[in-house]
Amino acid sequence: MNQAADSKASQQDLDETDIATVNAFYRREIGFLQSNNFEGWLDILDPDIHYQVFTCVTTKPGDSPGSMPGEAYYYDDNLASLTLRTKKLRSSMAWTESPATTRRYFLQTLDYGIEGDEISVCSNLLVLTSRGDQQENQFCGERNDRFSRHADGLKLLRRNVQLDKVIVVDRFLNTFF
Amino acid sequence: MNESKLVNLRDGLMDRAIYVDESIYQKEMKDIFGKCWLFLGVASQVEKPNDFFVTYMGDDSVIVARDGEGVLRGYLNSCRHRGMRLCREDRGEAESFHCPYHGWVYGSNGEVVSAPFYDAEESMDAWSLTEVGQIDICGDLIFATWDKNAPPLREYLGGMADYLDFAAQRVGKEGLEIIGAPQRWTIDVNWKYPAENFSGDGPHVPATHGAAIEAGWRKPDSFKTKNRRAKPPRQHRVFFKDNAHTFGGGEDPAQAGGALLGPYAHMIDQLRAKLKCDADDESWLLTPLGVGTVFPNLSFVDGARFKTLRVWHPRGPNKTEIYSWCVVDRDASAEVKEDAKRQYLLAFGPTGMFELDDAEMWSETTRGMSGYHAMRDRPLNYRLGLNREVKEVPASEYFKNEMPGFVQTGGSGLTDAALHRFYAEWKKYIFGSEGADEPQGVATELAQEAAE
Repeated sequence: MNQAADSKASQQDLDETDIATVNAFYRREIGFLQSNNFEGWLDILDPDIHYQVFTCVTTKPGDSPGSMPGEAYYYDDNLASLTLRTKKLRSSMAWTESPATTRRYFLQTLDYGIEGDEISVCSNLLVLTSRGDQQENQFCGERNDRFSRHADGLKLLRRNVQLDKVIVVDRFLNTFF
Repeated sequence: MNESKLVNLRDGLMDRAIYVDESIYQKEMKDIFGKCWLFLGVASQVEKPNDFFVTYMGDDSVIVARDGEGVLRGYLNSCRHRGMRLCREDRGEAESFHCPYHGWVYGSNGEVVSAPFYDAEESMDAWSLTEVGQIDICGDLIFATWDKNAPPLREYLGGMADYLDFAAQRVGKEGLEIIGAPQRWTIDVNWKYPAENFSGDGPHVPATHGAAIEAGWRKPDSFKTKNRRAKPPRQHRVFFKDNAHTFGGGEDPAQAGGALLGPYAHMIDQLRAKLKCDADDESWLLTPLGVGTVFPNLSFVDGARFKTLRVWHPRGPNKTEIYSWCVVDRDASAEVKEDAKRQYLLAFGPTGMFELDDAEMWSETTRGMSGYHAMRDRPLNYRLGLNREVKEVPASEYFKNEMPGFVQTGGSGLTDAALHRFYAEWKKYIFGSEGADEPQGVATELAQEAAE
């Protein structure tokens, strides 16, 4: 689950310029997601994006690999399905978006690495959401990203988010992580 | 009490109290969730001896386990000594269950293996875990009831059992498997709203799910397209005269058409084509089954893109905790299984672009009915189709096979008929038994007012 330790060895391979580029990517991404600019967000995804969000199962510590926390899932998407999801959010009949959800993303990068031409980043993620007069939620978890390099900058190629929750409370989950 | 005021099927009127009142809820726990067969999980979740998982029956935590001999068992998840929740994992493999409070240990057969300090003083034979009344499997689905005197599972399911068997065996003999662990989430709504919705609430689809249809995920119902000359697709609702289990399907399966169809949809097309070639009957209309509810709280979508089973676990009158599984035919290809998972996640569950709008509606019905006056306001309208004759034919005649039950037909014939059967069954359990306790609270207050 924790890929931070695995990628430590390659940390020195990433120079300060790359780290600055990654951090700029995240600032931009948070800007898109916090302003509900989902189309802008889709633009910074690699056409081959594989986007997965998992949650937890309660098992005995050290239980067999069959009970890995990563098997309970909330998103398993490619660019086409993410595009369809965002299109749905734009519909005048998207009742979950009216009232709209306010989201704040807090990201703490833990580790950077390089595999071939791809940059990998492990971070802690905290997302606080608020909607209407009753719906408040907080999500925290570990995010592992891989970026591909393009002429116009980095694009997100893989995202694997492990949320720390067993039960999602409160209606639905209309947030991208 | 005046039961006809609470659920008036003749006039299609439902009292609001049945969705928000604590006393009615407690009566449901005793008379519905204490007596009906309740869905627990899929057989593949406990394949080997000592496999277990934890779920709920009503609002009680239960352990479902294969004991050391491989016998399927269901236990109340509560230590006999001080009542502690014995098993605190969602699932696993265990020869015994250890209570960490005072160290009592139970075997996977429920018997006390050791009880520190007691062992020397008395026999612990009388202190085995409390077992469910009966537990059994149908169509690869595990059910249990607290009621030792309840009819056997297949009798309880009635004709529905044949359809569940049919659906579990369509690809091969190996039945069903689940993908991953169940998704769990909560919605502030009474459990009956989701259960009745999957029982046949066609009219909510264009309004609630307009966004998913507009985005192109699902095509609109064909009979509403601009081509007026297009022949409406055949649609049916299967029901039974002696229970409230039901499902609806048809020529256009649930979640048919639209964007991003994949290998699963192709598999369904192939299964249908094969059934059309092989047989003179019209069993192909039952692949996939469609959308339905097994009374009281198991619902399913067996559609063109995936299959999901979900249980609406009651958590008080105003809260439901959902366990939802993506289920696939075990004999299907790896490619089909992967597609089923992605299609399910795209459309259903707490992140599904189709289902998340349901949760918004259901939560707001609770808020809409929770005020002092809102709870006591005039009854809700379940009258759709009441003044229309609903055509029904034996299923054997409609599908030209030997399937049991009846079929309500007609593409544009949207009615509340299935919901009436749901509430007729509800009444049977709540008021049916001799000397049944009357619920107290708002319901009684209403009954007294009616009597005055």
